[in-house]
Amino acid sequence: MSNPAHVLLIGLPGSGKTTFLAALWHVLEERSSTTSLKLTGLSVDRTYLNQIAEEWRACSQVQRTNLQTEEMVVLHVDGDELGAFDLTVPDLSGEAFEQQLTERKTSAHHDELVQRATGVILFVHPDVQKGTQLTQARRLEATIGGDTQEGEGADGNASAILPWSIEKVPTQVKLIELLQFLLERAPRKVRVAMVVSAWDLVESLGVTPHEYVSREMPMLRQFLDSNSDLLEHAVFGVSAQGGSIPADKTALLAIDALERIQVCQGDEDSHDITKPIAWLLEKR
Amino acid sequence: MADELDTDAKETTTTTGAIGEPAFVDLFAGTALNAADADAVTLRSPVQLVVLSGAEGSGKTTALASIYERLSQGPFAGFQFSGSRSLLGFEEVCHLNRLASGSTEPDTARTVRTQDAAYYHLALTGVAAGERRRHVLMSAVSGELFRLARNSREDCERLTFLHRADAIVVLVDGARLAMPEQRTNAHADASGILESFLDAKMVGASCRVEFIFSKLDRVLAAGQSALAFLNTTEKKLEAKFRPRLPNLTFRKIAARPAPSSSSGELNDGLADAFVSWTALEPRGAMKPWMQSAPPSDAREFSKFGWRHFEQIEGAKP
Repeated sequence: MSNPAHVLLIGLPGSGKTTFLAALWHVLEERSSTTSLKLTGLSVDRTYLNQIAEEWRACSQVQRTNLQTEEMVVLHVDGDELGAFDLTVPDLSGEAFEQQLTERKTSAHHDELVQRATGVILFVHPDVQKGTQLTQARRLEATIGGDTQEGEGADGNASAILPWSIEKVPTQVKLIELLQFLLERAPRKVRVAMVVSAWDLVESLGVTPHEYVSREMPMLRQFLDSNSDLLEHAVFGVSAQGGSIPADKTALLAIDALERIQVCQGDEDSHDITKPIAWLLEKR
Repeated sequence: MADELDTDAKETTTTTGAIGEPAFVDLFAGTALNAADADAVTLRSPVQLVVLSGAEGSGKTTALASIYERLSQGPFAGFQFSGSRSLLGFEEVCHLNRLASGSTEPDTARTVRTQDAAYYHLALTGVAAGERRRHVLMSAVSGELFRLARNSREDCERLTFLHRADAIVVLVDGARLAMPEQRTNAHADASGILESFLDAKMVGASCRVEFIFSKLDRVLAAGQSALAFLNTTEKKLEAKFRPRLPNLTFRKIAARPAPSSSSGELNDGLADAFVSWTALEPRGAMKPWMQSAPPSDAREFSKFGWRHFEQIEGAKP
């Protein structure tokens, strides 16, 4: 008999949740022998999965989920030393998570998903909003001999002050807030697989996904490390498309779709996109 | 924060949908905390309260913002960031020091004058292995209220949160110390604020009190006479308050030094200050204010220390 498991995909708009799901469905449907999780049976309704996987296979931009197109996906999977699972993965829109930040409330439906979650995949696109401080910028200017005059912008014009709004909050702060909401509502210790999507954009930096988060989002790194009694986490770099769309489309279409996928955990690289989910389901 | 999940869950409310089912679950606001919010935090966990006081423009909010800014870049003062119930509040006070603000010079928005204090929460964990999570609240009160408190005992007595403070920081405005026509008043403002607190009996015997000479970079840039005045001011404040405040300390910081200043020593000033403000009492030490009932006129938040203490006492077998 299969165990029920519920994996929640969390992330801001454009963070790669649906593309991940599309690539996951293609991989599972191929029944490749190299993945940690394997499909044991087809889902009853596969319309949505087939639609997004079709876009993914064609190296097209996978249609983003919005509040009106949220879907609940059920996958029947099995893994070595994991057992069989009926895996429920709701494809929630990034807009819904942005609304949590701005409106400070969550739908009862989303709350129920949090209550049931076996684990969470937190997605972040590497193009993060860093919230650069003026003191740092000015110090850098002083170091390299910049000559911007006080009270003037780089173009020499006096600048207008823009009012504060939540949209200007750095990415790491938004993600911490989403995790705080999660921890507040989750009834037990939570497993969080953090996925840095579009990993192909940053892999040339020569750092591991863990090091990348430490470098680009140091406060999030501290939050994850110092709350180990409340959440267990691992960081993955995942390129579900394998490159930039449309720039790399022709090259990507020339290689086997399974080979396009890049998954990095620590120093290990593979094409196994089921790894983050397998990590969440591991018995410990 | 997250280690109080059960209590937090009880606090959340649901909004009923049209068909009778709860449609939404309210989440915490994330802004600076009011007294009731601060009270809720303190009922769940022991909290250290740091009150930043000083005249208008003395650097209270900048100090607060700088602590958060440093944490956003990595561990600070031996602490890792573990969470905050007021992340948006911190972000807002940091806004004028962000490129996204459109500003070209670092600045801090003045604290809006209200009757009540706002509180900024940090959950912190020491970087050393085995350290437990701690909670710190830092108060933000407009300098105008401290000016009123300096002028009137009645106004001073309204600042009831002072009773509960683990540390009271009195900022002496370094920018004014740098200006000959302003420096004596800068000294007098800071001294007068603390004198008012003591006169109104708002400072507990075990409360740490620290005079902070802020904007040290401005003092140093103004030359030897400004620095000499600062040193003289420190001696005078020491002579005036030490007999009444055995835990009195002095410190010089530049929370947000100018790019041209030598920053190493100045940066350490804020880290050392924060360590000092948040130093823990020896285990089992009972504060004098815990040994008696809270004053009947105390506002809700100022009573929280007693409440938490009562809970601990009540939980003993």
